[in-house]
Amino acid sequence: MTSFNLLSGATSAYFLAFWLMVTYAATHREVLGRIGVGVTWFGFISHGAGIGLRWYESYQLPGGVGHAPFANFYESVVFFGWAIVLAFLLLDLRLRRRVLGVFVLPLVLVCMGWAQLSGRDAIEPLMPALRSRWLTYHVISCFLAYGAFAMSFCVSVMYLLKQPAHGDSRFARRWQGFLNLFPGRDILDDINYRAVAIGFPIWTVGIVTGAAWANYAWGRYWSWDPKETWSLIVWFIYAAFLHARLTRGWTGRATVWLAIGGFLATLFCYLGVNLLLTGLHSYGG
Amino acid sequence: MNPGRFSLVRATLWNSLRSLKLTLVTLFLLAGGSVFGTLLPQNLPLSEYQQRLGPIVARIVEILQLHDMYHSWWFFGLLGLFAANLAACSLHRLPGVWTQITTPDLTPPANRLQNRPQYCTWQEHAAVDGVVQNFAHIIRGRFADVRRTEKDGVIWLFAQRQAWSRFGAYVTHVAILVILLGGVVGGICGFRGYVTIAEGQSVDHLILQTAQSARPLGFSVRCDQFSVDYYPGSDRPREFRSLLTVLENGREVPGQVRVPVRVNHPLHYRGMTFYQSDYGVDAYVFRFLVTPQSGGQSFDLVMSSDKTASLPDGTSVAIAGYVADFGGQGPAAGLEIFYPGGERGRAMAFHDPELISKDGGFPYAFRLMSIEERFYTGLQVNSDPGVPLVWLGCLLLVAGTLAAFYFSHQRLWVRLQQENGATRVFFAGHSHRHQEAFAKRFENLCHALQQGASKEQP
Repeated sequence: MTSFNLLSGATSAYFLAFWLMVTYAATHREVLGRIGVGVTWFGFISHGAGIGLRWYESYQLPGGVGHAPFANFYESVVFFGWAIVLAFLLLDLRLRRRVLGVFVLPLVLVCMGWAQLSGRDAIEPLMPALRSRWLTYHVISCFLAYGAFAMSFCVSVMYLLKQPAHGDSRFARRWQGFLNLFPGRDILDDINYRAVAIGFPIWTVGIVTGAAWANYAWGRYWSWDPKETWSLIVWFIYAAFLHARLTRGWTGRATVWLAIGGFLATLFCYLGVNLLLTGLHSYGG
Repeated sequence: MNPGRFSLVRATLWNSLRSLKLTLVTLFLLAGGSVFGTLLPQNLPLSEYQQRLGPIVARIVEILQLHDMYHSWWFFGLLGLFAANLAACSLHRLPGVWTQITTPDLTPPANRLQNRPQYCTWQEHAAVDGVVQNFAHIIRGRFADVRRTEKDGVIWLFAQRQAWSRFGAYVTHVAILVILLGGVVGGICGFRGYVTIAEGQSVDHLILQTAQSARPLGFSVRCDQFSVDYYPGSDRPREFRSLLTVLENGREVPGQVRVPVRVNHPLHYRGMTFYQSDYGVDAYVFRFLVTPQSGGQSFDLVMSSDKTASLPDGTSVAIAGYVADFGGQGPAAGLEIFYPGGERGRAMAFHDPELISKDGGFPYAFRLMSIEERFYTGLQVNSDPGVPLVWLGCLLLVAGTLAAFYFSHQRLWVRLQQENGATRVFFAGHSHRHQEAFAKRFENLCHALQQGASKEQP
């Protein structure tokens, strides 16, 4: 059993879980949703074991290349997927609304698919600047926050979709049935807030650990590198979200659009900066 | 301007400075401005912008300092406004929160109690004195310490948990101010520069990054060795390492001798930090075995490619060129020869003794034993007295956001009123966050109080 097998297994499980969820959404048969979540749990454990095994495998390679598996694009996108599933399953434990999976699992499948298609799954030795224990702390906190922000995004999309359907066609009735599986709008709004409230302090830890690391490696805690700047932009947007919501009492569409903007900025911070801009974070290559 | 109008203006200014609208506007402007800086390449010479964008746009870039946007007057202005807004808003709100926590309303009016999101009322058969003991005990055990008050013959119990979480937001605000202060201190009192030191050499000044001028270190630093460590079987560097020695007045400082400085492991000395950031080849070191043609003892000659070396008879030699491998027979070097009389000549040196010519009109035969690289190390040198402030701020930032969003200030009130020998209980609770979790907790407490009180019945 290699880490690659485990991760492929996880991808298949997520794929199966996604279709189970879709069938559940179409047929409203509770048992399908329950199996779907069960399969997601299976995928999640296999996924986590795959990441752990890859970590172990890297230390078994000759030449002392062992490191936490967060160093190149393949590893990072695999971990991104894992963080999203973690956030989804934690939310499901509290909420028990399986239909969320219809929105979350495609994100995860994109991550896993992209990882496998990139074909760069070889364990690579670390360049000197990355050889630091800050790598682990920094990446873990950033990605846990990504997971929370992804949840915020998914429930925001659900919030926007959940409007009474017009017309009486078969499709309209079907659609309305699908929407009835969603939690109420005020609950979606509340989950949205809570996902951001949980993610924001973790994101703060991510930025702070990144600054600490940069100070050790390059001698400056902040250099307005595009990645740093975008992480700050994300922080600003979610800070605005929390203030608007808690202090000014914004709810509904305004905060939902703010949350969607926040997640788009997060995605750009994670992917766009590496793919489109140049900077110190090298895993995009 | 008359005093009345002045105070009105002042009040309006203060109100807008502390307003949340301003917070949101500055947050969005900071976010938007920062985006712009990542799209326009930064820190190029102005002529570059002129070439790429045309004279008009370049002029705008110059006026708005968009080529160094994050240090432009308007970005600093935004940060200043952000800081002022944070400070004003915190100063405005903190006293109220402080009073609410330190001197809580122990006996709120009945309607305030009923309007709390968590509220229930029931009747106990026992007298007030019997009930109050039990209740205080249960709340103490399951929630927090209880304060008892009596007002107009009615007994009140009050308890609160995690009151400190209310300060989380203000700790976060202070943290941001401390970080910004750290940045300002670093910008004013700190400096950034670099040194390059060849192996075996030392330097006593650094080149400032901004001004390209020299600044004395106050001590000197010697590079004893530089090495690149590769991952086995590959050409990927694993580690860059300089062995540095600090010298005060030419003498080695104990504990600062041959200190390994690697990426992620800088050297700290007298408020300055040396970071491994660059390296290169300074010169090549040639080792020759020199044999006088007239016969006599051979001797070693070690010379670097950038210097000339003198021989016993007064001639000197310099390296004119070399090849690392001469047709599979080891390294070879061409030598430039300067005779005492001012004439010049050339000679070749090989590793293979077969190739070495015994004549050639030069009094010595050179056998080239080895060529080694001599490195220089490039070190970033910083002094930033703002860093401790920044770390303090970061610590507060993490603590503050965690307190603000992961904890909640929860309060309970119990009002016990005599009612024909029985007791009427009013029980209310409030949590400033996580209402759902608190509602469950309140329900449990409610049950515990109702059962606990009846259990103790005689």
